[in-house]
Amino acid sequence: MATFIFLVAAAFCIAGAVGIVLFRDAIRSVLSLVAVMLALSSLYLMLSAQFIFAVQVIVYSGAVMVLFLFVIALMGPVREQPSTRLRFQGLLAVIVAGSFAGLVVAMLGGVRYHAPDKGAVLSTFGSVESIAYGLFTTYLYPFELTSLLLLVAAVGAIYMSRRERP
Amino acid sequence: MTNLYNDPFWHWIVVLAAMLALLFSLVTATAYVVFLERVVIGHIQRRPGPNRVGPRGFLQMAVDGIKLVTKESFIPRNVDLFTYIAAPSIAVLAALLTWSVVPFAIWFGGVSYWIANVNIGILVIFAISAMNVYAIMLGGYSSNSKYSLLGGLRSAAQLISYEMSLGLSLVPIFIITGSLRLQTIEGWHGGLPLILVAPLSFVIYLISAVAETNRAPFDLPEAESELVGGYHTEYSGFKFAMFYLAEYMNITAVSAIATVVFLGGGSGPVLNWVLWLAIAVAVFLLLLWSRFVPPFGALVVAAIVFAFAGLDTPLFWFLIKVLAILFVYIWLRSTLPRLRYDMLMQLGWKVLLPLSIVNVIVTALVFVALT
Amino acid sequence: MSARPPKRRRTPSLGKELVGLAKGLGTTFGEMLKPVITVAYPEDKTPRSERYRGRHYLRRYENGLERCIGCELCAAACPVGCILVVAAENTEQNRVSPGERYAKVYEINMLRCIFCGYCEEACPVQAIVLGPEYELSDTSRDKFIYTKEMLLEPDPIQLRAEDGS
Repeated sequence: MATFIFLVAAAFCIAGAVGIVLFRDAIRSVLSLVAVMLALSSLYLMLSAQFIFAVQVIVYSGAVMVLFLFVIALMGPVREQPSTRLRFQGLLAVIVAGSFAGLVVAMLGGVRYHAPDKGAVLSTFGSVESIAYGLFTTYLYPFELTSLLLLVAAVGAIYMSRRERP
Repeated sequence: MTNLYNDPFWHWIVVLAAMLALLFSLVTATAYVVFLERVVIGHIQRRPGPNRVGPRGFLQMAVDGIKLVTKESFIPRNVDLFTYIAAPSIAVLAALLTWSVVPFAIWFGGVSYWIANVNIGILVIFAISAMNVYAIMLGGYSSNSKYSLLGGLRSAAQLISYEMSLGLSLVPIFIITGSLRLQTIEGWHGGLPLILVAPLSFVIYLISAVAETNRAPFDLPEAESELVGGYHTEYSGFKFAMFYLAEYMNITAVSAIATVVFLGGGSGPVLNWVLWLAIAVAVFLLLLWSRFVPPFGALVVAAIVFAFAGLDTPLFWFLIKVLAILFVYIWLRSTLPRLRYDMLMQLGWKVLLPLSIVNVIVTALVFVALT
Repeated sequence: MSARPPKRRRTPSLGKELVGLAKGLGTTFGEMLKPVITVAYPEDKTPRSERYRGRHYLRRYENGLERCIGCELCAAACPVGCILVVAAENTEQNRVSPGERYAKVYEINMLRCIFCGYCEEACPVQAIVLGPEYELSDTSRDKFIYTKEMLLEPDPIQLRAEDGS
């Protein structure tokens, strides 16, 4: 059962990723990205990372992708023109994709799969409580620094987009 | 009676049966929420509401449903067909999925059965309601109409804005109960209503939920008198019915969540059959006095109420509380005028969001001080 | 004209707003408990006044003779010209009205009629009157040309004869 769900989710993931690149219509690309996000979230759920699953859906599919959709909806149905592509783009793409695929294959050989630690408590792993415990004890400073960084970014973005008041 | 969950085969059977029963009763109940709304608004405007089809108009919704389903489902020219069809489907899907985690427990042999009892119940609800934005955005985008597009953007912005205060309004509840599981929140201190502890959260939740479900006074998609409709302007027939169904399912779901989180869900006095009989008689007399239904109809309603004596009390209290919140919704709709769009945004960002953040901080401080 | 200073915006007070909200909700709740004031039309009807101007009738005398003498004053008075009267001479064999002439054809186009009642006022013998009936809907335009047979009151003598039998 688990393998089946994994295969379906992975297939959705790959199909979505291919769709992002191949669709000429911007809105189709965004929807493919949403499909990738949702498939990823179900993979998280299968790794018993419930909180990450919910956050993935809420933040990535719920907020980030909706902003993408907003921009595209405001732009109107713009289609990518074939003529805007570079002449040697196809050749370049093949070279880059080929080298990346080679890299992945080379790395896969070195991966060692092993069963989870005997000491790990799987019933609490990935639950909201354990993540909150980690965030507010062991990783408190990185967590707070990250939120500060995000706050600075948000304030900076608002400042830059603000119009000069007369 | 053994717990049927322990047997894997029976587990699946029970879950499947519960899902089918829930689907059927949800669609029917949704239709009758619409009916309730029309009757209540009718009486507030001192007219009877639908009363032609069936006894007291009780079959009106069936007729409306048949009409919407058999009507020509018109597809305008140059729509983006895939997204045009996907949008209402997403709306219904999201509305139905929300119900999967609502602790709509059926008690059977001392064990309560629900479809899903998940650790992160409320987060799942937020995740699913985030999907609702897609239905609205895609519906507006794919219709190939500027009015739909603007309506879709408007409603999506509204949804995103109010989702924050909706989420933040529930954070104090997590602090107090220490859980995201809806079943735990419902059973906090034996079903003590959390509204007594966090009344401000309840108010913020209720207001944000009204905005979140695009209901009056925040019903900009349906503002046909001021704006040319909303994201569903170009939809008709069955696809429109799906949007409509999803809207009312969302309203019911939001009320159910409010019941579970703030009103103690199915908790309430456990009654013996003598008290049930008394309640049934009281309902019968009240209905006779109000002359809203003929004597036979009053007898039927009283019999249904009495039948709860044989079923279970939690479901009864749950339904009563959900109905009460739905009534508040309808009441608000018939009382308040529609907000202008900038006022809507101001209320969301300048009033509710700061208020809910203050609410979270104050609750956390008080909680730390007390423990 | 000097520019007026900008009006100071009324500072909203939360207490007042809440009182207003409560008042509004109270009003609607109170209205809900009051009885319905609409009329279930096809079953119940609102009372009409005695002088209601609805559909026309052509009256008769007690002895069954028609009142209309074919003078066409109603047609002349009609502001929209919806009445057509074609008069014919009364003869000894065929006496329809007590006067010299009677209306051989009397038609009213109900789609044109504005129910002003001028015909009633113009009539020297009170032959045409406007009655209380107002449900004049039909399925075709032709059916709105009301002929003399449709307008004429039933013959009292004939009615009495039918009652007796």
